[in-house]
Amino acid sequence: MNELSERDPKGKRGDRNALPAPDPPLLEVAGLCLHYPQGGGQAPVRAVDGLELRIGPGETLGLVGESGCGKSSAARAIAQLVRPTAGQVRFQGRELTGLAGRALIAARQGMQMVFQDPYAALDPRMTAGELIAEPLHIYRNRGLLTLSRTGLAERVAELMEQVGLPRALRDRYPHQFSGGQRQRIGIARALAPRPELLLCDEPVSALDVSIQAQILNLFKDLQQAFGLAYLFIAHDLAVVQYVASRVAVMYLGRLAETAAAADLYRDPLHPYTRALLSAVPIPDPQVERRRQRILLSGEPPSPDQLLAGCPFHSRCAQRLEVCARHTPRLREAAPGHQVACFLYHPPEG
Amino acid sequence: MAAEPAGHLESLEPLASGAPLLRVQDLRVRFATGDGLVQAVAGVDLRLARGETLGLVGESGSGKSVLSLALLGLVPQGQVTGQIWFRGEELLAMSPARLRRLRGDRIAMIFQDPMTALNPYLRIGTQITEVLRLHQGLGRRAARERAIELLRDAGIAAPERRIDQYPHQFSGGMRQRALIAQGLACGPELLIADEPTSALDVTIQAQILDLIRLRTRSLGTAVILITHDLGVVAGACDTLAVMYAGRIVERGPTGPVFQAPRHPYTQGLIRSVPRLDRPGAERLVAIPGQPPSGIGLPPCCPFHPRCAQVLPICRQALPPEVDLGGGHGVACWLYPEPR
Amino acid sequence: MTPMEALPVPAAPDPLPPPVSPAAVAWRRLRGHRMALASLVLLALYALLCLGAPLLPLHPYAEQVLAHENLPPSFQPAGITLLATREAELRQLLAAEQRPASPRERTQLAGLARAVASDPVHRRIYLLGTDALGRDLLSRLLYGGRISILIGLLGTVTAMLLGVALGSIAGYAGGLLDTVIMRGVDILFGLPYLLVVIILMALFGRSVFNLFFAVALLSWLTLCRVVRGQVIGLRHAEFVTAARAMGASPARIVFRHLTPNTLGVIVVFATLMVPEFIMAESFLSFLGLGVSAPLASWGSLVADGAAVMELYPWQLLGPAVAMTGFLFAMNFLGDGLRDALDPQSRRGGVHGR
Repeated sequence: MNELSERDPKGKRGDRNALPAPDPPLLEVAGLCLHYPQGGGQAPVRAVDGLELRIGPGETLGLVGESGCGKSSAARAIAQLVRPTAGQVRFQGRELTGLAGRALIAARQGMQMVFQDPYAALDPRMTAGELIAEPLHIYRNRGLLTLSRTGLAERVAELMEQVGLPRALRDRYPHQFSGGQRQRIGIARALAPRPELLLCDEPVSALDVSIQAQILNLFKDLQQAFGLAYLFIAHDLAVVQYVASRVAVMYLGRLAETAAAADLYRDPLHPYTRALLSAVPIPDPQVERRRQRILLSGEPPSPDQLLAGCPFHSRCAQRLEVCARHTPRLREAAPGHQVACFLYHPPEG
Repeated sequence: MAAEPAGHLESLEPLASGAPLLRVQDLRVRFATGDGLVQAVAGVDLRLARGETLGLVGESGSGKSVLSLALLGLVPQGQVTGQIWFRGEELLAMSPARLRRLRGDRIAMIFQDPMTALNPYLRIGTQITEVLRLHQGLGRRAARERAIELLRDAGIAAPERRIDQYPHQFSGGMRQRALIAQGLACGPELLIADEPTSALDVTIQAQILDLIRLRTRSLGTAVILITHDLGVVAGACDTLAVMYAGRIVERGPTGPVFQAPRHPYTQGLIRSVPRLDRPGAERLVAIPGQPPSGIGLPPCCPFHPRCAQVLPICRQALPPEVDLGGGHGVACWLYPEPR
Repeated sequence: MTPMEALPVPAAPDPLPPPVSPAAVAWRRLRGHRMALASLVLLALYALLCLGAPLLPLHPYAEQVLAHENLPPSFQPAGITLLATREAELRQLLAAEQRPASPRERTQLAGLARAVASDPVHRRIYLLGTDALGRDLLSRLLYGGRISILIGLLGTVTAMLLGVALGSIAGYAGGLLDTVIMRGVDILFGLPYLLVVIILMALFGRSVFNLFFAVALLSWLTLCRVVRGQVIGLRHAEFVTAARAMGASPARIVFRHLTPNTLGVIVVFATLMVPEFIMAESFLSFLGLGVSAPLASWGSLVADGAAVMELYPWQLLGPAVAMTGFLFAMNFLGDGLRDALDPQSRRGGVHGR
């Protein structure tokens, strides 16, 4: 529908020919900011600074970045677990930032979260069945869902099977499960209210390698079976490449680059993306031997330091003079491929 | 704390050329836990030459960390059996005093979490000079000079100022550098690095691995690099050994093992890891089931419940390790011993 | 629903491990702690005897038999002891005065012997002796135990309810509510405890209820602080964030998620609070502010016994040993519970990652 392009007010995004997510987008985030105030007259910590995203139904957007880049904060801000300092979050056409209480929970029903640490994300005093059923109870208590007692039990059993857990284990407690199984419980729990979008915050980072593959495949299978969309947050680029169709790279609260997954890996534009990709080890000695690593100098500045200009310029081998003074905006550099770097766009004015 | 410095081991005999720096034979480590007896290391043989970098790969429960602790004698003595020869001397038979002299001086260890491996109440400088004064008997000023030099070699800028700072003032990557500086301070012959980069960002990881490689090559230090990341092993190690349930199931030079992995577990691992250079999104082949807990394992191949190529004999007997030539060995009934 | 691709559903492990709740894990660990287990058995014995006192064949604890005043513990019927004591006294007197017994003394003795033979009351056996008013100390001990234990339990339960509720709310809500509650706690902490109790008892009279009320009033404060601390720590746990992400209300989070996970600390605290209550009550009784006659509590018995401990030491020994035994047992149990519930000692250290 053409309404999308008319509705797009983001002049700074520039090119209307940018390939948008298939419309209408399931999730639209614009200008998202999350600033934590610091005492003592210091500038606030800009955990997230002007983030914009789009996810269409059934699509997977991978959000990558290293620690401190703000990707987890972004997820929590999108889910309104933490109130954003500024920006809009439209989910299923409804604006979430102004809502509270029951209205927020109702609007957010189609968006559920999967957490990183399978050991910490499950209440150790509840059984698997109780954990998976909890969202159903909550939504039913708020009148957002009608489900009989048997219906609920049926749904729990159904969910357990969908994530590959034998339903006989529903009375076991989390400590009786392995890490991979606990993550499956977490996923089943997220699927209970039949969401359209899953916010997955590093869902496989805490798992063993051989289990990671199982869970990644599970994510793919579930997406195919239910048409789920994912916001898949990870620091492991190879993992993101496997699951995502589009990837966004974050650095210190801002987006450095976004592109279709294949484009990003084949032709990274932003110097940080290039360094990141070159740093990822590849399990092949011959490839590794031939690789040219781009070694970054220094450490990322801590998020509470106020830096003028491009957040990456202090470590960038290709920095220009202007990079220290102005902050680049995300602009289209190739169809469907945006980058925030003065190497590709001169600063305005 | 010893009242007198442990002293530098000048008295070591020179290593015969060709003799391995480290030789481990039938090492076994057992723990008694609330749920039963855990065989953390179940009969490991190893050989490490001077200057060689060995990658020890495994997931949780594989026993790789316990193995590294056993090499330093840091596991309560009663539970460790087998033999460990370091420069021809038997570590497990050594007196605690002599073992203490080896540690830090000839054998050094870097732990996984740089956040907790440093004492938050002591300055960085104090912790590095401690090693120097203990083993090399340096005086306070000389030790400080040397420590500054070590920090500089480890890539820490402005080391003369950093040396007086506390660990919380260092970032994760810097702390790991400091730990590397501390570990290599006395020019050890063997460095054991237990997941040195797992807690770090990937760009920092690349820097740290590079640093370890540079410093150990220049010192001629052999390295045992323990990790779960196959990519790290591919890039940083000369040889690797794959551990599963306390045993080594495959070993050899990195190239041949990656090119032609023999053990189904190794194959499974390699195929289940997403690779950046293969964007084809071919489906990852996951290994079904989960790693064993190490309790009550029957005397047969520990991998058989998850193996796609399992044979009847796999459930009955433990496969011996077979040499496939060129240092490539595998312990699997698919490769039985040649008659 | 499209059928899923062949994701192998791993067969349920065989045989199926039974559901083992964290409570069951703790219980299993507790069983290995011998002192705690012994204490548990001992406490069960106390509970049985004291709470089941009305069912036991005891002499009425309030009945005064003045003839039986201050008898020592014995397996023999009281009459015989009485006679023996009287005879011994007489003999001592005669030996001291170097004379034979007078006819009057002999008549008295004979009269006593006759009374002993005829009156059934003298056939009583006082296993722990009697006090100054001829009341059976054993039954006073057991009935007194009822009161002491009841005070300990009720006081602890009240303190727990108040302390856990307010501490959880303060810890989770934070902000103004937290400040208000905690400043209230601070103010109450600052009150001179004994003075408050004395004033309360003076105003509202000395009944068991008032006693326990007075003690419970100020006892929930520490528990409140402890629970608040626990909740503040747990507030940021990922399973709490997950619950919030699901839309759980704060009430649900606090009572369904946070409080059960602080149970470990609460239980340990409770086992240590019961002795505190009993000690507090006994202290008050010692000062004369505790239970009023004819009721007894361990504290009042100790107070009475202490007054005559040089003459009749058993009157102090009985209640003192009973009380001390109970307190020791509760403390050891608390120790064992703390170890059993300590998450640090959970298995997992071997496997790194």
